[in-house]
Amino acid sequence: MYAALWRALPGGTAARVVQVLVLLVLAVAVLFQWVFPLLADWLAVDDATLG
Amino acid sequence: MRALRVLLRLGGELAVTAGALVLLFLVWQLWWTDVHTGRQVADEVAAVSSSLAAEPPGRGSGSAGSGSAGSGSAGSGSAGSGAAGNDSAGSGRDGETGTGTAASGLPEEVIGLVHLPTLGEQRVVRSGVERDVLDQGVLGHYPETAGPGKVGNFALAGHRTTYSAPLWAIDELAQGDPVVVETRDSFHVYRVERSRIVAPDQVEVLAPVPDRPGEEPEQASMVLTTCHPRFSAAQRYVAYAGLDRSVPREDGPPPELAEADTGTAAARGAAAPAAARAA
Repeated sequence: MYAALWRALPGGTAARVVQVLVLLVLAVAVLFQWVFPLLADWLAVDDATLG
Repeated sequence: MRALRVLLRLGGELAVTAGALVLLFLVWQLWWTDVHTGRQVADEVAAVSSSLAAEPPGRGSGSAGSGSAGSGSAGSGSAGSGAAGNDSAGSGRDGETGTGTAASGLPEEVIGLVHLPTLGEQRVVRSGVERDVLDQGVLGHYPETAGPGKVGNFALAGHRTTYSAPLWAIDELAQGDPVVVETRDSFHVYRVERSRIVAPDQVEVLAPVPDRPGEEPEQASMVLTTCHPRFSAAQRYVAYAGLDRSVPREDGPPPELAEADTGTAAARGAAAPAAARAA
């Protein structure tokens, strides 16, 4: 999976490392901004209300 | 053999990815929400504080009437017997949750500020206890309960962990500790009476007379609800307080509040809450 991704990226090693880092940052941003808030709603591990 | 190796590698990569996602979620929930919300909280408290001070006394006194923010989804209708006055006041603005703005620039769903001087904590009080309200690091007012200083039960909820955790130290509230609710026209000084741990469905805590559903209230009381134990939603921690006195805004802030402001400044300056939470 990740090996295939690595091979699919263009450029030399340095260019690929940069691209991988950019993809990682993007993934974390999407998770923090949209995915985790939805997941937290569903898990409600910090529910403070009664009812 | 080669197929097996490919399959094993894929399985391993998926397992490692899943582990990384779980860790990342914990980082987000336990750390990022705190940091992210904490940035806004201090600014919001300062803004609301100055708006309250600037507002001419008398207008907007029906702060309990700002219960329009999603009261239908509060999910505790059985405890809502003390809510008679709220619906009529809020009915003109149904569905308008974040846009209504008072003359002073203070949104109508902002009820005021709660000061917990002994904890060095100050928070904005908003109407509503939905996640999107509480996740702003505020205290949320159960819309079906009484307004601040009013006869009945002024019930608030707030996060104890995550989202800058306004009620992180609720268990440190001792009997007699002041809880000052600052509204557009008054300072309501409550005193902590007791606290206890309940199940999440024990909505009788929110009754007009706390824990005695069906009884007619004669006194103004207040409850703060939050999760218990920390980092869990298994139970709820409830602090009960009774109204000591209400002071009109034009008489100036009560002495308890002066303690509150210095306490908060000291706590913020030392960045103590963040350190305590990380521990």
